[in-house]
Amino acid sequence: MTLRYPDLSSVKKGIETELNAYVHAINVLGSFREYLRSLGIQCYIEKKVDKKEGNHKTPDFLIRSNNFLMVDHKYTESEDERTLASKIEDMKEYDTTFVLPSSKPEKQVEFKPECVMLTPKKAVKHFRKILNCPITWGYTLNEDILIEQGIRSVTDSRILSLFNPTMLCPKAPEVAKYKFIISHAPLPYTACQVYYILWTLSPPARFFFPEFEVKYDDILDVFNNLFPPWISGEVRQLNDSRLRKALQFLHETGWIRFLETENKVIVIRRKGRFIADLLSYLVDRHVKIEHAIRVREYEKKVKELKIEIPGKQKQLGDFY
Amino acid sequence: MSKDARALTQLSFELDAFHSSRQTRPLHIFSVFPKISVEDIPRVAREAGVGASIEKTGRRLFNLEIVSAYNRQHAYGFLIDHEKFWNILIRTVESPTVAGNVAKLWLKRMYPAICRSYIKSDELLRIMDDLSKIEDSKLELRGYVLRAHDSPETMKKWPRDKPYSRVEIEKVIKRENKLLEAINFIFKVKDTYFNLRIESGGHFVLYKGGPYCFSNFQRLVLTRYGEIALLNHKFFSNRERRVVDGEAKVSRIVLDPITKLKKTDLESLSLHLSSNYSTSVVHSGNPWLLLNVLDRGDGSSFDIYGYSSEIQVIPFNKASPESLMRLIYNIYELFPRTKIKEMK
Repeated sequence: MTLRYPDLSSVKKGIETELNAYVHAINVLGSFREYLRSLGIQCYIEKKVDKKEGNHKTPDFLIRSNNFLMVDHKYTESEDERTLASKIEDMKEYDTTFVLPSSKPEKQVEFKPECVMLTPKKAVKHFRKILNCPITWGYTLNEDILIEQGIRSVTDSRILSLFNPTMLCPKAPEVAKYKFIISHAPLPYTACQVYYILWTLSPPARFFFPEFEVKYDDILDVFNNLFPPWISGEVRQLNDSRLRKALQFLHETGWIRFLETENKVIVIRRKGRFIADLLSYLVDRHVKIEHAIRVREYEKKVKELKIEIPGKQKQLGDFY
Repeated sequence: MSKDARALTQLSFELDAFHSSRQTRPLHIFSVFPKISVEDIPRVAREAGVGASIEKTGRRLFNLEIVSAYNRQHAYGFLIDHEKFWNILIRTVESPTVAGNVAKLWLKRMYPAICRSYIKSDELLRIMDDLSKIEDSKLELRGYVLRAHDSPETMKKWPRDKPYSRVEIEKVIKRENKLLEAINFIFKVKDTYFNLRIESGGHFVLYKGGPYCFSNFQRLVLTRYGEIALLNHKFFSNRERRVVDGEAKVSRIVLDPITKLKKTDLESLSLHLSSNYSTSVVHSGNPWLLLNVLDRGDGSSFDIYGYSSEIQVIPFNKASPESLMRLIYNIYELFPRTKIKEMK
């Protein structure tokens, strides 16, 4: 592997892609779930399923139809073969026998699912070039969600009958209620949502004070409500760390002061008011931080390589 | 008659007499929604960087002096407290426009403690329709003002002897794709009349009139405007996101732009709103826009979903009716023919 100096624009591209992937995942998976449920088909988002040989997987989407279908959302804007291959490699983990847990052992269901990779339609043509690509559905996300079988077909006749030749899945209004799924949201996205929450918790009748205070627990309460009900209660435990990270990030921007030991946040009203797009600003800040980290890693590796270069004369005395 | 009613009647008499004389100094009236009590005005004004003093002269009537931030210009008048809304009356001392401008700038600085009310073009015309139906009345239109977000106001003159026609005004509004900002007219009934300019943002200018001109204006226009503005306020109230039994409930407002919106229209929407709000473009597809909007005034927050056939406004867990009303009005500015389709 060649060592390259981290490029700022590629770091930015990566973070923007991650952000798009997250927004797509909420809208596509949420709407798909609502649509299939309206057809009487059981399905789950991010349901934990045990592997028969031990351990577990959390597929993005599990459809319980004639067969079991595990659908994983693999968002990519890249044509790079290694990126595409790594996504296919991830899918191989579903090629095993799973067990749907139940409190009664006789009710446990063992199954070997069909695996579907769900990608933006644009990416399907790149995946097509790669051998051993799993069954792939391509989607277009606009006013509605249009899904088509891009590479091979599922055998589940009930699901297959929905494609004629594409499946038009209306964007579910319900999805607009929720801003997060279990998958880790990109930091700028979480920070942006948290910043909005902070303002909604501003005290009434103190409109012109330069700053206002919000209690940490109050933010956590609202933050938890932004997760949809299909997420299990245990997920809430994770939110604390996500929220802290977001607040620390906002603290670095200077928009707030996060007083961690006192469990409170001070919002500085005048900060950030001339920024046209808060999210894009937070992305840029995050890109700079990420870039600096990668540069440090790069420099560290270069230093290590210099030391390890064989035959390099470190001092004159080495010859004797 | 109570002391309060006497004070209000006395004020009406004074204003009737003053504006039916030959003087040419107009009276500016603003219909506003307060989030503070009248007694708090001086303190809140200080915090907002402007000035104000009040003096109680009746239970609901106050003398008011306001000081703008710019040049520290003063304006004087009265405040009538109707509990849910106030009418602020500003008398002109110097040139006809100064007092109105001082008050407008003062109100701008006082947002969100005091919020301007808004009514839509068709509601403005509804007030005109009501006036035209009054027996023995004559409605003389002098002109009207159209506005679009990207161009200056345009004043349209109305031929002197031509009767008021809603249809004709609506044709021009549709053709030019603009909002009806204001109407200037003379209303005559029997021996009395008044010359008034009425704005969609709850600003009235009473130029002059005959006997009882202020009382008639108050009875026929200001009360009607108040009713419409209050209905709008009620319509936009209690729209916040709520969590009931662990499930989120949202109250979305769906706007129909009448014509199909393109990606460029949605881009204009996000640009237009970013000048008045803190916005975040979460997704900008074709044609699909997901925008987070924050009103830094009072902390109200909304999500906007823009599609080719509709714009959905989804209030977040804090959404004051004043802020929501202002946001919808901002969308109207960009797409003047937009109508509220439904509430879900």
